[in-house]
Amino acid sequence: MISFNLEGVRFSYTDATNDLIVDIGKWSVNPGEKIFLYGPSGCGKSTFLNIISGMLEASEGKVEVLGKRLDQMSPRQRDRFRAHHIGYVFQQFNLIPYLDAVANIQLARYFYKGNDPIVIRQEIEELLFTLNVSSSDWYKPAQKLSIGQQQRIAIARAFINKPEILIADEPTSSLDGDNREKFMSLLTALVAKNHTTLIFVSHDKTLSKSFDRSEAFSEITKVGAE
Amino acid sequence: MFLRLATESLLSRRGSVLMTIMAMTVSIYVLLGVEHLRHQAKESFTNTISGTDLIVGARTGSVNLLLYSVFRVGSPTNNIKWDSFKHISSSKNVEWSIPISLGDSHKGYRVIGTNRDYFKYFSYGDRYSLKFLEGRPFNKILDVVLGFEVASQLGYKLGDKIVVAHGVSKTSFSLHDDRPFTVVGILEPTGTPVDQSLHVSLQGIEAIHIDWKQGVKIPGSTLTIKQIEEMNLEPKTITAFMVGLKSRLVTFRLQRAINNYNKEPLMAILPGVALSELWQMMRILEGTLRLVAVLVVLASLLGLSAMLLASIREREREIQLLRVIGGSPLFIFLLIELEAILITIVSICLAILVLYFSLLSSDALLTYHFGLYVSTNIFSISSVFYLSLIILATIFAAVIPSLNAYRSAK
Repeated sequence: MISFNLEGVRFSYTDATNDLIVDIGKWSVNPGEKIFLYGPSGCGKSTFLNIISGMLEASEGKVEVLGKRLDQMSPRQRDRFRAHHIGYVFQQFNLIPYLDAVANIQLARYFYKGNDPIVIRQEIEELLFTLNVSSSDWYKPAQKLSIGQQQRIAIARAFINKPEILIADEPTSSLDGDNREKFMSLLTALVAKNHTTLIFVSHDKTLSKSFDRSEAFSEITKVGAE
Repeated sequence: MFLRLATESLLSRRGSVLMTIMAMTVSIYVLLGVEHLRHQAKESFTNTISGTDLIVGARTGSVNLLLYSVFRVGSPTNNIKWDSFKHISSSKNVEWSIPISLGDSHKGYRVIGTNRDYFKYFSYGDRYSLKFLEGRPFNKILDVVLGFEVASQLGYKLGDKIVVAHGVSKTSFSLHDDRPFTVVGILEPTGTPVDQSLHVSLQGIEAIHIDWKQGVKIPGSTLTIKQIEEMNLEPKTITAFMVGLKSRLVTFRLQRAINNYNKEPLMAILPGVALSELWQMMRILEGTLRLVAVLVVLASLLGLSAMLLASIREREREIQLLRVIGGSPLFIFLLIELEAILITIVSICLAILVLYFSLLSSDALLTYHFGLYVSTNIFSISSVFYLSLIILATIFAAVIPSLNAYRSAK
């Protein structure tokens, strides 16, 4: 089943057509594909990501994710769909600062199906172990951890529900070289293992080599091209 | 998880949350405290007298008659004749009657002349009759029975001699010091004006006034106790009397008969009715107190709302994150509401605890200064009602910040 299939998607905050922020003719991603997206800031990147993850509703057009029409879902259904099928990693502020690593991951699971946190604790701890998060940091509030640690926990959080799709929005921008390397190798390993479709957004084109496809935002949306 | 998120979020903002909880605690404490004291005051007030069907005295206002005969406040307008008392008491519907004669005092406590029926028939609260802590009713002319507070405050014990002053002022200079009374009994505490009274026989009252004219002592009296005992000390007048009837059905008939008594102008009142009339007069005070307490709670609720509203601004990214991992805007709305409710519940618990301990520690003080026996049981239907109202008001007050969070989540 195709991961993303967008047709004639437009988005603007007002009704005026000259106010378009996103205007996509056709864009699709195959399952398991690893897409690298780049573009300057302020080109409608986050709006685009919000639309394909169902945070925002497109003003018009067809938004199909994993064969489901997001544009025909209610906001509530989109929230549930996102919790079930899409993992998300940001540049920073990936974790609730006052919850510890385990609780942050449990929270993602909670939105997935309101699971009993105790049952999945072992699962979480194993995942954190694979991601090289030292066990002494598992129960510290997230705000006490280094950015590198936080980003790794963010990956764990994104993967706990075994999503078909992972969206990473500038996840390495706040990391230094060494941490960036580690982060990328952990991410690619997990993506490969779970056959996850990856949408990776970055302005750092040096990262693009390990991806199946590399696209500029200006190619996807007509607005950015102008 | 939902609850944990709310608790940890509050814990992470300890400073402002703690201040808000303190403000809420103080305000809820005030509201509960006022409610409780109001309740207790009313209860102790309406418990002052029970079982008495009619109080009879000289014509005056019903509240006034109640005040001086039962609460020992103010002074009687006039006395009534002993003959009227005897006549009415002998009516076939009357089961018992207690004469009361007022006008003297001891160190600010009123002295009541009465007879032994007082200890037998007078009842208060839930039909409790008077009980002796020590001793027995008065027997001789110059015996006195003390209310609990009189004995405890002035440190009297059985056998002590007491000099009664003429008039009701605390600093009377005209003392009946030639004929001291002997303490023969001390009553158990009742939480009513009985605690603040000294009880002597009507004959005792007559005896100390034998050689007085117009409220002044005639010097050179030489009468001995023995001589007095031989005299006829039946009083000519008394201040009022309480009546218990054989059947309540005749209450109104007897009341009308007394009000129309043609030998002297008399008035009979129903204690319950007069009590509620008197309490009506306190309504404004009651209402004001309650209004102030409610406003204080309202102010602190607005403070709570302001605190949460300010926090939403710092939490925009957190809200965004919750949205991304699948939380709905409704979840965000409910999260802020839950935080508000948690703050209120913690404040309520603290307020109840503080109120409980302050009641425990001020118990003696209230009894001493106001004769108010306050129970430490704060839970009444009205306090539970107020607490649920506060929680409801919290939900309303938190709608503004919650809606704000909801919008930023959209």
